[in-house]
Amino acid sequence: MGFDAGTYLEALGHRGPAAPTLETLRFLHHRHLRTFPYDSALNAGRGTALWAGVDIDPDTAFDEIVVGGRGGVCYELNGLFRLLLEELGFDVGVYGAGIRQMDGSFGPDLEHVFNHARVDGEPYLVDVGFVGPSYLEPLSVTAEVQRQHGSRFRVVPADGYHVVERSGRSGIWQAVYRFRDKPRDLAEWQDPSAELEAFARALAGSGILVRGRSSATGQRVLIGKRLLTVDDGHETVRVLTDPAEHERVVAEILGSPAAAATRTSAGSGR
Amino acid sequence: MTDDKVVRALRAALVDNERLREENDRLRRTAAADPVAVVAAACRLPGGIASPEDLWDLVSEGREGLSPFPRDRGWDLDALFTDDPGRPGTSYVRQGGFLHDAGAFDAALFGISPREALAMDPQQRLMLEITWEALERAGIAPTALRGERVGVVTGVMYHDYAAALAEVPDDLEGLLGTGTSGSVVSGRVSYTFGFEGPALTVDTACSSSLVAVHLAARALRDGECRLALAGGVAVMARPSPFVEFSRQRGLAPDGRCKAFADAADGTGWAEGAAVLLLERLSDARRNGHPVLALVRGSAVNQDGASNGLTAPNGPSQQRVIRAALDAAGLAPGDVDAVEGHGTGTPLGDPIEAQALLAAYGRDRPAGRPLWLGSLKSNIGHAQAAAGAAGIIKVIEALRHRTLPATLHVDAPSANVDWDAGAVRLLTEPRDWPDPGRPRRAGVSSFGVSGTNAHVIIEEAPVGTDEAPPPDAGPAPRPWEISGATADALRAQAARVASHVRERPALNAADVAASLASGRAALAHRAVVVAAERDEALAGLRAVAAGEPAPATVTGVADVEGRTVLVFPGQGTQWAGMGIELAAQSDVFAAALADVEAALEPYVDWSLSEELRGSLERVDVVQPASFAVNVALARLWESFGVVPDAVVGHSQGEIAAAHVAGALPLEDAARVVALRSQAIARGLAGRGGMASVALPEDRVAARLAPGLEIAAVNGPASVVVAGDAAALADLIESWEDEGVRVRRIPVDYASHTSHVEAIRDELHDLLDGLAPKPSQVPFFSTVEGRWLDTTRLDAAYWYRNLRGTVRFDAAARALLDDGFRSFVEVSAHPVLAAEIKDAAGRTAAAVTGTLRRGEGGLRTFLLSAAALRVRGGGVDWSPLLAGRPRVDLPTYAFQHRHYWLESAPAAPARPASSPPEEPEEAPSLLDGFEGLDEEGRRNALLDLVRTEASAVLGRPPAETLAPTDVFFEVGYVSLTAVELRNRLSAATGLELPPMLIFDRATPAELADHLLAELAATAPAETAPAKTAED
Repeated sequence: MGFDAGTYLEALGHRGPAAPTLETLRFLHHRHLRTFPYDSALNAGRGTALWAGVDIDPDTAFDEIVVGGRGGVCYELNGLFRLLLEELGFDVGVYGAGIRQMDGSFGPDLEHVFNHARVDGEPYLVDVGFVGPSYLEPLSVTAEVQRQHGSRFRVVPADGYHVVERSGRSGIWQAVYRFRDKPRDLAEWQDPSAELEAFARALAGSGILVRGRSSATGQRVLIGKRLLTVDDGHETVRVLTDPAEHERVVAEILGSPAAAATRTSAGSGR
Repeated sequence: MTDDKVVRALRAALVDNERLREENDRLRRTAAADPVAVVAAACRLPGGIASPEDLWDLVSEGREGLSPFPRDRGWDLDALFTDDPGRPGTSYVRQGGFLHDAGAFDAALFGISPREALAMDPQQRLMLEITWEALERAGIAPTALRGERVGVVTGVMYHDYAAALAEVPDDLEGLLGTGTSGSVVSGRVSYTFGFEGPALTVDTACSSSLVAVHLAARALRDGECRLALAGGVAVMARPSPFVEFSRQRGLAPDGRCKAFADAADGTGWAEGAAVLLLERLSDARRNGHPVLALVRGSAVNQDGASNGLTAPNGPSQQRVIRAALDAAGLAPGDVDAVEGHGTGTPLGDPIEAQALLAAYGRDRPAGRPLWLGSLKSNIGHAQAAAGAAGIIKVIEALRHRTLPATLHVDAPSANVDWDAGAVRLLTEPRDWPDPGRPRRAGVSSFGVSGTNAHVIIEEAPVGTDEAPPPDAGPAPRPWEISGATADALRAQAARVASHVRERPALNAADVAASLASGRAALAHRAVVVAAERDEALAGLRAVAAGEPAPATVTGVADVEGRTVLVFPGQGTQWAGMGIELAAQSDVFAAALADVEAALEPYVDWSLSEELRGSLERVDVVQPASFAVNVALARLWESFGVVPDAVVGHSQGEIAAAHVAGALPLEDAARVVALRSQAIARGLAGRGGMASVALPEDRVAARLAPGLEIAAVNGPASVVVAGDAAALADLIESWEDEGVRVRRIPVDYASHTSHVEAIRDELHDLLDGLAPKPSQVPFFSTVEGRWLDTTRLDAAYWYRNLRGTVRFDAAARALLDDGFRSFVEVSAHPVLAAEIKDAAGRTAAAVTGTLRRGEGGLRTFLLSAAALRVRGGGVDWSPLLAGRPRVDLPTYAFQHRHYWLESAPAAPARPASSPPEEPEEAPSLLDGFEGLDEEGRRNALLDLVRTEASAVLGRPPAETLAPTDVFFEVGYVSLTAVELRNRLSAATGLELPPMLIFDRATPAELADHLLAELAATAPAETAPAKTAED
């Protein structure tokens, strides 16, 4: 059917007019994260050319993700959402970010594709294509603490970057990713740097799948067999060594939200 | 002061005196009532001494243990030596008593990373190893005292390891603090072994280890701990003690301590580590620990404001000896000998000798002088380890009833008035005859800072041991050994083998018992089942060579999970089953007799006769199989293998129901007897059964009318049953197609519609059964789920015979529920292979019990061993209880060399020499190429577990199990990356940082590495691509 804002809003559960206000942006941002899961499986088939499709074909992506119900990667989810916001009259653009790696360093600058939006003259970070744990609602670009569903966020300057930091109930601030305050052109990804290429190679070589979906009060992030659940700022880690359980959780994350909800409640009785 | 005040003060003093005397008496009474026993000792001393036995060999043969300076500590030996005592920075002595293996350490056993081992003072490492040995020598599993009140008091005086490093290597920063701290020498032992008694490091210089023994004995008497490790260690990481004493001209030029000799010309430095395991005598007796000797009394004092800070003080030495005699409640004449401090200095020795003459030399029985000698004449002055080493010498002397000679005495020192009392030098070894009371010797140590110690050691009281148990006949028994790595296991097997071979008098049962208790059960395990020494030795040699042998079972303890007893249905019987075992096992024989009695009301044959017969009639085969299986379950239980669940196949559910506790034996016997008679009457001669190696759907597609699927045992293992003619046709055509198919030797078709013919009869026969709720869960292969056992009534036993047996689903469900040990309880295994298939790569232990034609205790023990080596809790004590403990070799440490050297001459080179470098030390993966797949997997599993434990800094008893989940045992992102880096370095593989997100346990990770290494192997042999290409 191709990209259609009405169908999109319906899928996100939005009723009535969608004026380009902060309230609308908040609602759609959170609903987007809950409705469309992140799934790196797509990348697994792409070898090292992870960024070849950054400039998505909106109609194909829309049909596969919004209508078809598969999960997406950062530039697909954020690309579709950016188009929707543009149609609704928001002032939006693209940012690139380097994600905090396991050893505390940051990945290359263009590793992650996300959006920024200006509402009532104020800049906001808009990211519905990151597996998390991260912000569920748009984030103001300020070092002041912003509370969201039990987690706290702030955006602090460091080394010429803005660093998005998050802290759960444990109280420890940790970087999520860092970005330069520099609107990006999708063409920048068509000629990736050697660093970005090497990064992509390592990532693709690992074969470890990353999946995630948000809930009303948090997120579930499944990397390999390790499931991180954030709920109201509380974090729990479980490792799903039982293949049957792993399969079930993957299905819950990638399935439709309604199905996932039923399965979760059924599963909790175990 | 007025007179009044004086009187009051005097009165107060008198009261104080009185109170002190009472206190003193009380202490003496307590000490005498429950003296402290030495239950084990371990040591490393110069001359390659690695045990108390080695020490005895050296002193009794009059040898010495001096050697040139070590070359592997980065000392600049070329610049160190001159003959000029005045030249700064040099030593005029060229030999000493060195521990040339001071850098050797088994880091993997203690869960310490190579990096941390390198940063650890060798004094810490030595104490870990000799503590392990001391516990083993006492018959205590080193891993068994976690959380116990065990004290550690360690004398340490050198803190110079890494002190002279030009710069600290980056990767060791953060480790050197604890690595070189004196307090951590004792604390590390407590931490590593999990001891929770007091841990103290004592530095009173050369009296440190004797003071440690004094403090530890006090702590035991005061009830602060129930066991205590007391000792000391001295390793000279720098040559500075030689340089320092060269300037003072205090060293003998030839490095020899000529204790109490006229030729004494200075001391000679030595190194050493020695530890004693102490326990209150009453506890030692109760716990069955060996009592080597008693610490009869001890005392510590100080020189005070003497004739110079470092000068010895004769009166103080006399006082400390008298205090020790007082504490022991002894007079001087009650002590036969003294292991003197005797450093060989012309100033110190005469002072000590005069003090001994005064304290011990008077009031002695005629003809019984005090015999004096010093271990320092053999090995030099081991400083902080000297006193404890002296005690070990005394203990060995007591054991051999010989006082060994002290060396290098040209003549007794002319500076001593030897006529002032009866003290004689041991210039010759002497017999130590029975003095009509316990033999005793004092041990002295005096520290340079003025702290003196004297300890009186007494021979062990004659035990009130019961008569030794009757000689155990040549019945099969398990010899269990283990190691932290595969290499350690092999080395340990070789050690035990050579020890036993050299001691023909050792009783095989005693060895088995001593191996089974008092040893840590480490990850790599082997069990040799043998009735006799030679058989056991052959088995041990096979383990040592890494070769399979019929009497050995080896494995890695990677299975953690609950146990299922699996009771198979028909097909396990063989003529003679159970006969041999009944003759060898009282437990089995009694259980079998119970079943026979329970069957009696229902059968007209005798079980014991039929077991010897051909076992052909169904109404005999089924009850007989039931009887053997129930009795085998009881035998398993007696070895501690109790079910967490039961599952049965077809008629096996009857035995399962009984063992679970749902049916009393009488009811179960009734079900199996009456039902099999109904089969014989109503079904026999009408059908047949066959098993086929095909999947269920492919079997179903071939079923002609009259044939049904009776059981699904596995993904490609199905039983077909039905009309005899149709079955014969199908078997024939499968045979033509080359399909594996086997006719089951029965003439009826259970689990088919045939059974419906006896439905009513069965209900009538079994009417009134009252099954009970069971303690042990029962998984039904009829219903494919856990079943409330009150439902095991007549109707159930009909359905059990009529319905399809869903064993494949049951095995999968049990595995999914976390059951990991599966014991097939029968005279022959028929389901074990199916369970192994169902487990796939899941770490599960699956074993049968007996085998056709191999029905004795030996086969049973081999089956139990198969569980044990995979980590199962098998208790061997039914076979071994009551056997006396015998001394066996201690653990075969797998040593690598760790020594942190400074390298100022070549600043470009990293200051540390990482032991990971192949030229420095062998890698865990050495010889990897030569291994088979199983060997490679084990080597990788070792590597992963060692590195993963090291990253977390875990002590040995907490080395990660193969099935531990990394993120559930403390891993976080940073440590995950560190583990990845280590494994990348060790294997040369490019591994992703998120490695353990996906490979969640050591076992999974090892499998992954194995696959990755296999995948990259061909690439390595391809010609290397060059830049010019």
